[in-house]
Amino acid sequence: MIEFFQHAITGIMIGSLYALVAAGIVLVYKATHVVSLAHGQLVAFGALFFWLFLGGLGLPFWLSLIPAFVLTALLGLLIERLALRPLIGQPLFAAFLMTFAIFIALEGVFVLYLKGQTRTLPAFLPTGNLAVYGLSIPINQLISFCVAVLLFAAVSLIFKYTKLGLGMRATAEDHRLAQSTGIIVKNIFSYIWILSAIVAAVAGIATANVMDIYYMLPYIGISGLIVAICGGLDSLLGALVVGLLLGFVENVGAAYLDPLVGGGVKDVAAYVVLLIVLLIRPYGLFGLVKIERI
Amino acid sequence: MAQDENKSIISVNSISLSFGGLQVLSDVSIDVRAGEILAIIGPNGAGKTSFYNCVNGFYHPYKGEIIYKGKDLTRLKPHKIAALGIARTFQNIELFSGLSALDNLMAARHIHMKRGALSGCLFFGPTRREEIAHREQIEEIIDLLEMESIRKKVVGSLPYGERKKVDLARALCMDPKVLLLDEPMAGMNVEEKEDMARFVLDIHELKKIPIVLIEHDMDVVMDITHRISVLDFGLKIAEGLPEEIKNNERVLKAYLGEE
Amino acid sequence: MRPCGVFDKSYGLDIAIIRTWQHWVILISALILLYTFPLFGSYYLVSFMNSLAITVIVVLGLQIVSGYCGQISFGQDAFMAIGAYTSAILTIKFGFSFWIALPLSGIMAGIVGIIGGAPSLRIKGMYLAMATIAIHFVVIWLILHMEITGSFKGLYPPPPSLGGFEFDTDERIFYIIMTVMVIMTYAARNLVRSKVGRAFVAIRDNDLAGEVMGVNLYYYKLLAFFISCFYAGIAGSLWGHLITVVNTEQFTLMHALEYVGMLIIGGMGSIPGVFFGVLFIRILNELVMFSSPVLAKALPWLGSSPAAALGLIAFGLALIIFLVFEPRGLAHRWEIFKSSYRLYPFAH
Repeated sequence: MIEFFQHAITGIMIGSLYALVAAGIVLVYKATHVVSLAHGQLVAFGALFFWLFLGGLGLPFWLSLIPAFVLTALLGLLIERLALRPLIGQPLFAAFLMTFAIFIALEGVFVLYLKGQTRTLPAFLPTGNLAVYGLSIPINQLISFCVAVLLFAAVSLIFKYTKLGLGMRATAEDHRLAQSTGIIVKNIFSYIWILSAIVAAVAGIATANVMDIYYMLPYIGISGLIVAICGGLDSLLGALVVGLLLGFVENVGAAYLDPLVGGGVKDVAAYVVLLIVLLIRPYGLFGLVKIERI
Repeated sequence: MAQDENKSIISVNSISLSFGGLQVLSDVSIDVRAGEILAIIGPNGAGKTSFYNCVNGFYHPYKGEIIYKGKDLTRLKPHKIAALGIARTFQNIELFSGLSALDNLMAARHIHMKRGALSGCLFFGPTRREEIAHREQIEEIIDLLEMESIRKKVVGSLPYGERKKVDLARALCMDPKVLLLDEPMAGMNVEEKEDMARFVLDIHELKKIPIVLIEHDMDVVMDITHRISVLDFGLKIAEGLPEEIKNNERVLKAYLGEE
Repeated sequence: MRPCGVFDKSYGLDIAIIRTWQHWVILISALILLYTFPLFGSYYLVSFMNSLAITVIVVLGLQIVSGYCGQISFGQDAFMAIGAYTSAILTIKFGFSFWIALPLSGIMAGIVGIIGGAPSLRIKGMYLAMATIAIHFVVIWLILHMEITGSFKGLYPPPPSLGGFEFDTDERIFYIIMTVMVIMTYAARNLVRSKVGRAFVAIRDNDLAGEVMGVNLYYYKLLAFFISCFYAGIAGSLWGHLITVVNTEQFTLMHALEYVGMLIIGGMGSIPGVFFGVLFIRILNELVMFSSPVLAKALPWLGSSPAAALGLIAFGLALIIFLVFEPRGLAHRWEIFKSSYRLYPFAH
């Protein structure tokens, strides 16, 4: 039993990373209805920028954090300005394909920079394990878990209670209608991409805390997308719950099923979960069901 | 002959439809008789289009039944109903926007074409002959609706009135036994409306099929229809000849509001 | 392409693809050029053409399901893998000849494609795209975890042979690949202008209206997936017998993404667009390949082997540029060129 809980806790810790990645995707979707495949790149670049200052230049933690955020936000802004803004008014699917194009281009830049090597962040969080009831929890993972939950709360509050959040929600409902009430929709798009990029940077740093920065890192965006879709795409709560759930399923599944099928459950669990959710509830566990009108 | 014309082709027997808590149709019964032009009128949101959607199978009413020539349509899928010969047009013109007008019409011949994928790949002999035979039938409808000049234009780029025409032509190309028109004259100017009314009458005369018409323009409705049903908030509040409807108190109330 | 002043005198002539005797001349000389190519083309060019033709077959399939039927699929490379493995297993373990294994692997991939396409019955657009990504990984995972596929080691299918003649070099198998490509192109071009093709476009442009026209959505969506995966399976089989080794590392999500990119650049919903797209991306890739050693020498900070990364950047940028400036792809440019040729010398 204790073994099961250990697997579960480890899984949930990893799951909080998925949830963080998904949060950025949900944010962009909520305001623009664009599903961003490029988000994984923002996560990876966030981690890379942070490494540049912390590991590369040897700056202290806080001093590395701020330029990493700024640079990632700039990247997000650039994506919005140069690639997505020209597509306003075109079918949403074009924007989806555009984020896919951005993913490929940025993947090239990422690979070019890494040159086939990996980068490891120096430890910047307290190390060691916390022992509770016979379970051991790495403290740095616990910290990133808490950061994730706090960030979710903060973003939800922004959406619910600030004027900017109101503008974002209005824009999500109907671009033209929002425009006509005096909301500058283009600015909203820029803000949301900046916000999403900062969340991505947090996710990237938290991820790089537990794994190396290497050329596959951007593909965590796919896991994030899976979580976002299963959660319902427009639901932050859904992203959090499904993110944690996915980490749990992956880890526990790997622990108990790997011996039966010869390994590799972790690589495929997320995709199986996605397919099942899409077949049972096409609009996600927490998503709104759309009624088609004609 | 007279008896034939009164035989009902589609009889809708007290159907009810709701979305969540919203009652869209309650106990609506409407008969469509052979050889008539029937108008369904009513204020916006009265459930007219939802009624069509029930008849052609997009929505399934939770109560009541829809009988077409002795066959129950209530649970059938839209493509099955289409194959039985019920065609419709759309309020918001739902065309295949990437295809030319001609291909839109050819697509509507779908239910009448028999050749499958494999012979489509070869496109030789019988397939090619079938294609040409159907093309000839379509040209007749193009001729009838006077749309020769837009034949090869991509419909997405056509002006509104022309798209409405393609929508009607597409329904006609299905060789329907019953034609349901959803606001065919909405947003048109007087001349275009006159053209459209003439087309509806032409079709009725030529094809000898019942036509159901949802329309807001009362002049047109009074002029060309034989019978009128009035819906309001999902209820059928009146039915009868145009003259009767004109003076029906409940209809006037629904349109003009209570004094 | 037809010049000004040529009019159709019958409906049969109007629907013909090849309209004038000039067209016949061009077509036949193009075919002769194609089939004599190994006689004068270098080895490099011949093998380039081989991989080009196989990609054309895969992307033709994708064009049918995505460009015509509107169901974007990122799973095409997984279905190619199924074709390659089926063909390899049939020839190695069951002793089938290549000529039987080829169509069977297409059918096998098609059947799996029907299962893989099942989510399209409930979800559309981006949701479906994600589901196909999931299918890609599930398929590759299953292949890795099966006994018969040789797991990580892969399989080594033999080159095709006919009556003692071995098609064991690139120049020899060239004829098989080109013949299959020509047949598949012919079939695809005809399919999309037949009843089935129009039903596909009806689903893409307006599925609800299509249903009212009598198009059975379930049947035609699954048919589109079957045909598309059949194409992928055929291409996979050819690929396996061309390079005589099949393993899962050859079939990556990046390839599947590349196919979708080729479709965007070539133009959705156009058969010539497939050729434009494949040629464009492949030539771009070759250019990057040739120029990257030079670049690496001139700019040392690029590292010693920047080819792969530069290729991705070029591909991504090309996609972005096309999506912004010509979302209908090169095929649309071609249409504009054709219609202005037809009207020449009159402007309208």
